[in-house]
Amino acid sequence: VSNRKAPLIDENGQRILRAIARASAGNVALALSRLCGHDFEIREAGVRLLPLAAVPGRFGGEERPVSAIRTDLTGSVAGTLLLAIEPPSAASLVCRLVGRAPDSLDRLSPLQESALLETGNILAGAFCDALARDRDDAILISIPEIAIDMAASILQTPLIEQTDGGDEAVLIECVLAASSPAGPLTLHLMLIPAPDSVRRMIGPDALKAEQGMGGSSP
Amino acid sequence: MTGTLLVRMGEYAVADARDIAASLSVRGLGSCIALFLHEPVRQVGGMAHIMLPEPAPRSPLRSPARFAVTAVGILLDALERAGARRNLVTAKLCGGAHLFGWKERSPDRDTLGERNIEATLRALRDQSVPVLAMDVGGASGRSLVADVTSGAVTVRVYGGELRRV
Repeated sequence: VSNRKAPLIDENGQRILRAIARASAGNVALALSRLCGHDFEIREAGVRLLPLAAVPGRFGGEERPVSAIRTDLTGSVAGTLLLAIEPPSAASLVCRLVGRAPDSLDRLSPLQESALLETGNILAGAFCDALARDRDDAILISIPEIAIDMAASILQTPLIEQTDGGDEAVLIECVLAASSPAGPLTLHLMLIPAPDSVRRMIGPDALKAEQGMGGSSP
Repeated sequence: MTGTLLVRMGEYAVADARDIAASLSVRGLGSCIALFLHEPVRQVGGMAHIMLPEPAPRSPLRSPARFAVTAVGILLDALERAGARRNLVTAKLCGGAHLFGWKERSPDRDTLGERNIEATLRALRDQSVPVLAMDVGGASGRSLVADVTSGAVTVRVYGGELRRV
């Protein structure tokens, strides 16, 4: 039987993953504050086990337009990290970083695209700092890639690759928000860890024999 | 009054022209394939939302509509159970996109979307199902609606472009 099935996680395992999510959110909030020059509020930091078809709902629905920056993690924790930003927030972030809002998110200039990619890179590093704590092996972060499309289209490949076409995915997430002079800013980071990495993060004692961990656990 | 039956990742569905839901739809298709099989005389159609070419080694086979190698067979069987004549069934397929830009970095390695397209076409060949039309590949997501009465498939590419397949 494939060992890529979503692991079954007990209360202690969920507690460990929630602590990781909170620590990652704290790091990301700090990095964002430095990048943008104002404070960010942590709106959510938690862990969820969801059927694959339900995951686009986390980004507002299957056809909701999203700017997404993808990085892949390898090493002691493997998976895909997505930074999802809705178009108004992406425009506001670009304006904040390069001084001019894009005319259209579908036609970003190289400088504007580079600003979003660099944001993804910095936040992936901040998120992984908390993941790498207390681990001997490093976590390697791939070069970020950007796509602007429907939420379900963006999520499809990472979800399938990380679950190997399984039923459910474990999501470690944080949502951060701020008001800036250029408009409201909301950013959503979602780690889809490979099942083996979840097992490594929580340890073998926190795996359940038969039951899942339930729908959500923010 | 007619409605639309939504086919989510890994699922399949069959409808005929007399059903309340006389069309089948997929929203936010990326690397997956929406495979639509249609029988024009009986006016029955089926859609599978294929995720991968084949199951992982040693995996238990659940939800065969998830995999190209098994989806074509179960969809044909379901159409026959709904009264379709197998020799009249034709196929249209959409999807198989690659949204993130890694292809440029590793041009020799097929993307998941390309592997899904190849595997679905191979499975259709193996079952002798002719392919009438395709809207596959590219770097944009798609949503689509297939009309089981006419067999027409309308694809909306992210950004608003409408294509009739």
